[in-house]
Amino acid sequence: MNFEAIMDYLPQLLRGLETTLELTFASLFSGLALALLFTLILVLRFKPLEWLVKTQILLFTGTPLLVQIFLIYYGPTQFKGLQESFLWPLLSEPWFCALLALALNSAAYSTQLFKGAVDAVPVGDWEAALALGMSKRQALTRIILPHAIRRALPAYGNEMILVMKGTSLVSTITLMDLMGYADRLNARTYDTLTVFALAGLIYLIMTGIMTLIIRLMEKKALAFSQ
Amino acid sequence: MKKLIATLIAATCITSVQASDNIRFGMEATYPPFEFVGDNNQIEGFDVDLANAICLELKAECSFNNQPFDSLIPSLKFRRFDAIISGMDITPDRLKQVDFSQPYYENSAVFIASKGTLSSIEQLKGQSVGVQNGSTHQQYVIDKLEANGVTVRPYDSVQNAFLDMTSGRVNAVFADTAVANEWMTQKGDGQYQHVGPEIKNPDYFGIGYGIAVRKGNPLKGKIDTALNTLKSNGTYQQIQNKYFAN
Repeated sequence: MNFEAIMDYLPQLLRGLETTLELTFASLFSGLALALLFTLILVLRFKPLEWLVKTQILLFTGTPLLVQIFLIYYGPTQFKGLQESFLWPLLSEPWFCALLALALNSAAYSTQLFKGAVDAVPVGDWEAALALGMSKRQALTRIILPHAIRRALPAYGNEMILVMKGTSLVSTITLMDLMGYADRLNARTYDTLTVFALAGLIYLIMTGIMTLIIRLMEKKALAFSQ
Repeated sequence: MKKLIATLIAATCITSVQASDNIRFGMEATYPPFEFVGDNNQIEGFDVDLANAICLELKAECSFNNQPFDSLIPSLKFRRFDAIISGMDITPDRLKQVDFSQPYYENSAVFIASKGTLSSIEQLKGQSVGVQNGSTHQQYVIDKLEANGVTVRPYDSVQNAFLDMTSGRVNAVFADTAVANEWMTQKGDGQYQHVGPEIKNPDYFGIGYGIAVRKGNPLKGKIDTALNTLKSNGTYQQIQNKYFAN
């Protein structure tokens, strides 16, 4: 491990940072939107949809992310019909397949987090809101969900970091993210230790920054309870 | 206690003697006709037959480890096995890391694409090309074509690159000619063709396939001698005929 090599590798690795960050935030946002929708379905007990959401959670929390990425990327190529459908331009893009897998995976875990947080809101809050004349929907959107989401924030912060680290798997479907460039560099230089130590360090710094941001958000969101 | 230690030392000595009679080869077995997992779940192919013939010549036991191509040289250096026989080109870059036997197979590289889509290498501009990660082909495409707007897509196995070419995710695949031809006859269904001429560039593709061993390992000399014998007594030609009959 020498300084010159590090200076040579660093810019090459950082080329992949853009894909890693784009993918992290795109899948976090779409995952969050889906998770909120799923949580609503579970809390309000919309019957047929509830079963669908429960199946989705079972499938995506019960299988490894790598398997999900492979299935979504290589699965559709087995069906000729799908290759001629309007979905193919999207599914043929490795970027979209990675986004889909990460978003659905994150949605499944976040839904469980949010549902747990909603369940943890004391029954008294529900009763008070209803007694004040709010409809069930008003009580949910104005009292229960804001309260629950604030409570879920620390755990959701972990989920954000897990998604960021999960993006390192997308290089297996040819995306050139940070890990993709690390693989390429390792294959070229065989300097395995330096290359992956550097990649690990970059991930660590990103995790550190994300943790700080989440701490700040928590402080703001939970200010009322301090 | 002393007896126990003595026994342990004796045992380690015996195993280390046995270990020298066992040559562990590393390879990435998705590379027909050179190495692939056959119908009965055994690794077979040109390289496997050649390695077995070498072991027979050296009166040693052969064993094979199957793992990703880009991890073969690091694993060799970390002593996970003693030699690599995996359709690996002898290149100047790799010679900095490991020693190679004399070349045992002369190869070239070629682009293939769906018939009627591309007819020359110049037309690859703006297109995507699938390669195996860690291969000399990846190196070549990155250095020669990436700056001209060619997207390089790295795959763990060249078979997955072929698969993505059939579904249209990559426009072309760049691989060893023998491997590309094998795939075109087995799975290509007459729909694919070479794009441009076969490429032989010794700076990238070296002087042929070699068997890699750790730097300074005397195994290199033994393998070279065995290869000479196999080439002169006709065994090499037999193996060659078995896989490249026509």
